[in-house]
Amino acid sequence: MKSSYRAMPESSIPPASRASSVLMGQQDYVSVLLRLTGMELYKIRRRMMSKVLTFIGIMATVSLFGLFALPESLSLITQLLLTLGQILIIILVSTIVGGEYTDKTVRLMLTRGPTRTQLLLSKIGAAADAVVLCVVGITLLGILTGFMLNYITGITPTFDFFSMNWLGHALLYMLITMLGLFTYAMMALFLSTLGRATAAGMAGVLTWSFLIEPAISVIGLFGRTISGPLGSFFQALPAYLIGPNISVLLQNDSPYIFPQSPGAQVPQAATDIHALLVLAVYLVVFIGIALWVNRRRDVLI
Amino acid sequence: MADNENTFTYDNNIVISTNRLTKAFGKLVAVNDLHLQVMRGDVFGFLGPNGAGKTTTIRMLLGLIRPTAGSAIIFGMDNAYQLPAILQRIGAIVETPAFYPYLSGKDNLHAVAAASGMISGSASNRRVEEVLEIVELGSQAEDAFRNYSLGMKQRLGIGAALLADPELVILDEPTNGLDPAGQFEIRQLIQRLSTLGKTIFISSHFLHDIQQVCNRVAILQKGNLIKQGAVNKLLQQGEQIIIRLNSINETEQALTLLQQNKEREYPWIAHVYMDTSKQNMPILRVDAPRTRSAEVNALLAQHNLFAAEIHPQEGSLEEIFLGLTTPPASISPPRPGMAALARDSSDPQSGP
Repeated sequence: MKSSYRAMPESSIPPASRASSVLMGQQDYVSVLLRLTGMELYKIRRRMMSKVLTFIGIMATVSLFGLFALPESLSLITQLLLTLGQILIIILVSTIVGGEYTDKTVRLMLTRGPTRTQLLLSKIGAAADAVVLCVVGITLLGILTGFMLNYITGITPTFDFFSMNWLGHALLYMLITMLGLFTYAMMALFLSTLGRATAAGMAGVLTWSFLIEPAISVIGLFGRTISGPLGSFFQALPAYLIGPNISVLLQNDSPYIFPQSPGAQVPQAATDIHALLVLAVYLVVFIGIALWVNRRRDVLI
Repeated sequence: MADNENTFTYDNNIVISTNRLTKAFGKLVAVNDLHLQVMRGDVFGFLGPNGAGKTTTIRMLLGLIRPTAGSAIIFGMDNAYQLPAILQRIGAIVETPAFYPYLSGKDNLHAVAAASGMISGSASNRRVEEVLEIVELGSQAEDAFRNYSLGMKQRLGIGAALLADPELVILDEPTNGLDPAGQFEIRQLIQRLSTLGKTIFISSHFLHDIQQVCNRVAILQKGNLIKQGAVNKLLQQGEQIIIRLNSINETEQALTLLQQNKEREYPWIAHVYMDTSKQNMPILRVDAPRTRSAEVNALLAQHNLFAAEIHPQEGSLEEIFLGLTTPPASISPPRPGMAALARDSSDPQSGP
């Protein structure tokens, strides 16, 4: 079966000119991809669900930050992002991918000219944008809210901790948070593509991240009580999950951001390289299979 | 032109050409060995009963599903390799138009414009508004798609198909859900597009619509192409001469006379039969060109059989369609034109 498209076709019938009101944009691969990503972001912006999710995020942030000041509030922001933020991003990504099948708009988009790969990549781009906006937005909002509410709650913020080194590590901390959210977002994209439904992505990732991963972590602890290869296998399992590896990356960066916090001084569970490799493998698997499935399968809805 | 299934060539006037296009879903062969040819400027009707494989064919043309075998050449390009370039020159509706329910009609067209390669945002405003006017949705442009009626959804679908001013418009059941006035408007729109030089490929159950707007048709049944050709030629094949005589006895004599003569002296008579279904007095139906009425009348008169009434009847696509697609056992009396068409059904590629 032929399955690949040639980059620039040779047509035996030259195209006819279009009406003067039809203004065509650049047709190179990147321009098409950027235009589609813009369209995805526009669709996200126009969804009522996005507004509701944003409202929930803002309300949660505002209500939590009165009791903390920097740098401790950064840890709380990350916790908020990796719980509530994660749920919101999973819902959003599942919807923008699965919604194309649920609303049957996939056949509209796939008959307009862009390749299937471009369409899925545009969704990945939109998901990445949403993750960045979510992390930056919640972080800034959290810090600002903290400053304002600290005066009311009587906490006096100090900036003794602040240095360029601290700022660099704080940015790294945010990037790790983004990577964690993006990995779960890609899992949602993968499952929604595979299941051709919003619910597949949403239920699948939420179940995985809030039930299965914690359960496997418990099994890992249980492995310590069993000797032999089975015990070793159980103990090793959590080191290959998404959540624990994000925690490793955050934990390894914590001593530079929260020097006073005793929790930040715990020994390293694994190296950054190991954690990054595991997350990279997850991303390659999720995105790779989603692209392959999306490209190969028939659209019958 | 591809005149039989083993040759496959194309020229610049052939917009769509399929070569042994086949799609099987497991053991079910939805489309079998399909050879279609749609010429530039055609308004091409694609007919068939439910489940005949029309939508599957359209999906294969648009790259939504991959053929099990065969190929589709559109604008001279193979859609297995050059689909994006092909799709940029096509506007299509596949089944009931689906759009983003939370966006307005206008915003949906902006989304389609971006996906079609048009400059996004306000630069496409003029075209979007033009199209909304063409499909008469200007006043509902800001309403959410989820609140549209089925007719409005169909019109927005047609608007989306026309948005990038494509050379080929593929419409799958475009009049579904439209009231008679809406159907009339769509017919007019198709005719207008045709005069602008667009090639239109339209699948529909509304045979009256197809007969009125299409110059060529293909009829599909159980995945097989059973007829393809010019509408006027098909209609000629469905023509009949209706004869009413003064008594049953005379009618029977006339039937015998015509049957005896049809093979020797009047080879243009395909079939003669007595129709007792509609009147007390049976009538004779002669499957023959309308222009032969006088000769039939003269033959009867030579044998002292004087017709009380004789009139030629035009064929209709509906009768032809039913004649080709309805199992013979269920037809009583035989459908008009059926014999003439059966005579030619072994030649599905009969051209215009």
